[in-house]
Amino acid sequence: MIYKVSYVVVGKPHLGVIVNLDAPPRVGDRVQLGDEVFEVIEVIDLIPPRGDFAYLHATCQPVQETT
Amino acid sequence: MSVIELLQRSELFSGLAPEQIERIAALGQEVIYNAGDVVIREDDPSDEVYVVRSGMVEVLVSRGRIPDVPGPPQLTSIVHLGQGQLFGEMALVDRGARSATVRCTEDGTVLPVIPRQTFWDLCDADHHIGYVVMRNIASDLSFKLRHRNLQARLAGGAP
Repeated sequence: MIYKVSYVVVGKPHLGVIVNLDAPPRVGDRVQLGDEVFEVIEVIDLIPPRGDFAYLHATCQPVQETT
Repeated sequence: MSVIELLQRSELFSGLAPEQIERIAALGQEVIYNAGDVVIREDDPSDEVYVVRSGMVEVLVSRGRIPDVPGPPQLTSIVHLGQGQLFGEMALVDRGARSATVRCTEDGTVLPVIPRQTFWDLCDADHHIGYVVMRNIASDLSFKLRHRNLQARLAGGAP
């Protein structure tokens, strides 16, 4: 299965990314979008799968630095 | 990953038999770009469709054209596209001018390029290829529109 993922960032201005992945993103994952790293906070099926493709939407937010 | 493997993993060619994808792969050639290189420019004639084999590109549209102010129009990025994504596909559908500028954001970005007319000739010769590709283009454009809608809704992005 190929996962076509729409990443959208909340919490700061970012364009978002569309990319094909071999594994689906999961909540809590860290993902690099451009030069920055974000945390996935939600993953939903955007539309039903077709053929070898699954279509997902992942919402991300800037990584919260802990001290 | 070979060009054929890439095309097999590209939604544009999903549903085609391996031998059909090989025929399509034979039509194109690969071009390597560096960060900052402009691949296509808004309003230019459109003759090819591109697939991102590796690297990343950004799609930009011009805004705020000010006739009395010299210099290029201001470009606004609307999305980044990574491996397996296609762009320039509207050229296959409507043959209009480029609707956006596409610029590479990573050095060594590899883009297989498929000439429009050569591809159309193949679709005319094999209607199954043409049907599958047109269906997939419609699906890809729909996905990009959904992405834009979500971006506008969630992140307050460009409408």
